[in-house]
Amino acid sequence: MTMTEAHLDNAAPLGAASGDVVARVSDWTTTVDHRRIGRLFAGTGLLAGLGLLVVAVLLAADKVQSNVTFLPVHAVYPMATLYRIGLPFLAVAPILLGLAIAVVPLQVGASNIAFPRAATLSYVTWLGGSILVVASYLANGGPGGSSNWYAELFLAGLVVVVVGLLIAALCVVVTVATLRAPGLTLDRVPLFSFANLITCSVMLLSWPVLLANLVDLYVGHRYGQVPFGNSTKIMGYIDWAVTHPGVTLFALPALGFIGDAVATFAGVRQPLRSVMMVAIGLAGLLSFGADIQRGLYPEVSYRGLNIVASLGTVLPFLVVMGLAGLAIKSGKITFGAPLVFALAAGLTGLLGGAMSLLLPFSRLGLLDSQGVSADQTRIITATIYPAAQASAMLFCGLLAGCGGLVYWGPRLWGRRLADKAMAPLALLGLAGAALVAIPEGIAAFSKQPIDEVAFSIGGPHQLLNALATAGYGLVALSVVGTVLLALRGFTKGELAGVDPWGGQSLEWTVEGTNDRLVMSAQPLFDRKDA
Amino acid sequence: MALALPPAPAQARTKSQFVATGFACAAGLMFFGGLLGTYAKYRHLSGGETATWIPKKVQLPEIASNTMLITLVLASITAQWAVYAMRRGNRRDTSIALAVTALFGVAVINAQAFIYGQMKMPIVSTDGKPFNVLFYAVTGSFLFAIVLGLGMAIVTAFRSLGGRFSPTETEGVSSVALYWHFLTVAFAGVWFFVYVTK
Repeated sequence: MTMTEAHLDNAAPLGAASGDVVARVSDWTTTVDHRRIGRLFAGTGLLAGLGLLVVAVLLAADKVQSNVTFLPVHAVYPMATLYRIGLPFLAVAPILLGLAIAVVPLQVGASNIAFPRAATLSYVTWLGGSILVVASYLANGGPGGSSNWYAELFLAGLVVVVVGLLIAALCVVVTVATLRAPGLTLDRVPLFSFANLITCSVMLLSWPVLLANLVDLYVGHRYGQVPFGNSTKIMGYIDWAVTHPGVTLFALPALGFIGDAVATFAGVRQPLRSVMMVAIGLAGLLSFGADIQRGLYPEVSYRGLNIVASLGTVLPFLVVMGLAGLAIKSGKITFGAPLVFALAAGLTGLLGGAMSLLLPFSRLGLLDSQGVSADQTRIITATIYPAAQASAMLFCGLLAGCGGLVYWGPRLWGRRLADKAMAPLALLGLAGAALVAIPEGIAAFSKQPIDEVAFSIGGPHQLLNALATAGYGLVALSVVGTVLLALRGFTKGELAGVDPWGGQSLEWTVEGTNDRLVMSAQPLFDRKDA
Repeated sequence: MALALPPAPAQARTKSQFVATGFACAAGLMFFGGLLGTYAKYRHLSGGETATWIPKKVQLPEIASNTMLITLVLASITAQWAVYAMRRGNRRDTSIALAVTALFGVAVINAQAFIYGQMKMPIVSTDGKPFNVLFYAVTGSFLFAIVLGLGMAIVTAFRSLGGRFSPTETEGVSSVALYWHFLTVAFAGVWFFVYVTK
């Protein structure tokens, strides 16, 4: 069988032939180089993340004075859903999948991602869908929007987004499953690749159910708004994908990043590595989420699988962070920004996991805030608690994504970042995540409603919401700082060697930098074994 | 006399396409599981009785739906025949088997069109029942999946005629067969939920 080879298009400098902008854009949008596709995903995701964090800051600031709002009343709910849907699907998932597309082939010794053209298609599909989703919101569509046509555009756009991400996930999972270097058995795969294998497998099993929901919603909404109702009801049917336990999926690759980065900076082999892999697998199992659809089955919140998922989510984060601590203790730690990002992401994930412990207790009523929205168009079914818990998980993924860029950036761009300047940004992100999740979590006990800025509740909610506003701001600042320093570092930073961190896995044995990568003739599975 | 190194061992085959098709089929099953889950839930909410679930004057053509299932089982068999033939290096039979598979696919689309024509059911429910939209969402999604399978079978048949496969490289044909097995399983679910239990 003859194969149509998709060659890495890195032999010539970008746009060298024609030298104009069109050629450069064409080079990038039709590329089959996994590193470029990954960089496109991650870069666009970071920009989207920044925009969405600005939306979050505005919403949180509007909650500080709960009886006075500066945002138009009709815009609040759509903005809230834009943040809740957008941050995972337009920012965190593409950043992490982009990293996976760029790094996983290097880690497993593959010459390129599996189906590189499909990977490019996934980026273009995701980008097109994201534009449709944002456009639908701008045109007053989206969940809660007043335009029916644009609400349908939102549903169609989200279908395209999810399809794009699923194609990317398929490429990653097939790369790890089939394109590993000879001898690199699954139990020796670097932890980031293993975590992506689990994440993408669960995505491929869980998100098609979301697609089915979206197809049903689209058809139902377009033809008579039966049985799913108008656009204010959309979120109720799809929010299972962005709340616990489905939201854990967006934090899962962080576990692999923590495992890889901490062992590298500790300078030791990861102790009890197989236990860490089991923990990552367990996290994948618990983050399935498609079986817990509160829109269809409201009673499921306090039943079997949901209770197991709620009580168990913290466990993998505890195990991974505990084993990371063991690696630090048994090795000689060297300072580096990726290490700080890894620990910050781990602690944020731990916070999210700990918060999920309270979800199954019906007496706390964190999922049952029956109320009516300020404009009386919508029944509010939950307090802000699930959103706060989801934010913690999403920030865990976001911090891991930023940390991953810092860690693997030298392999992807050939240059190092300003290490000491980057580390405080990770701490800023950690502080921001804590300031968002903890105060919003506490406010939920006073029945502060989800997706609302006008409410009447007791307790120090002004202080709590002011703290949350500062938290969102700090996370945004952390992302802005990371993007700016990364841009500076990757264009003007000092040239990185083959292995700037003393890494332990296969990607650090690749000779050369940036556009002149040549795989070693004898790939090493672990430098300590060599 | 010049010495030459022995030839390098043949590169291990990766089966990427087959594995990818496997994952895609698993995703497809979850997709149809999601659609049917919603269908079953709303059927249950309507009282769980066919009389209260399906609008009056609407009859589901059972013979056509049974024929669809049987046709898909046959398509699954012919798709596997294509794999069998290619493993024996019989390129002609492979192409014929894939062409027959595609033909069965066209027959399934025809049967579905017949069902739509017989039912004469508007997509917008006149009595506020959710059956209409859910029925069209499930069956329409399945039609889309069939069209994909049709495309795969036709392209693979031509690739087989063009000599793209060999007895040791049957991955492309196996992937198509796997996809048609998935279609059969998925339709078995649709058939049971939508046409049998109604």
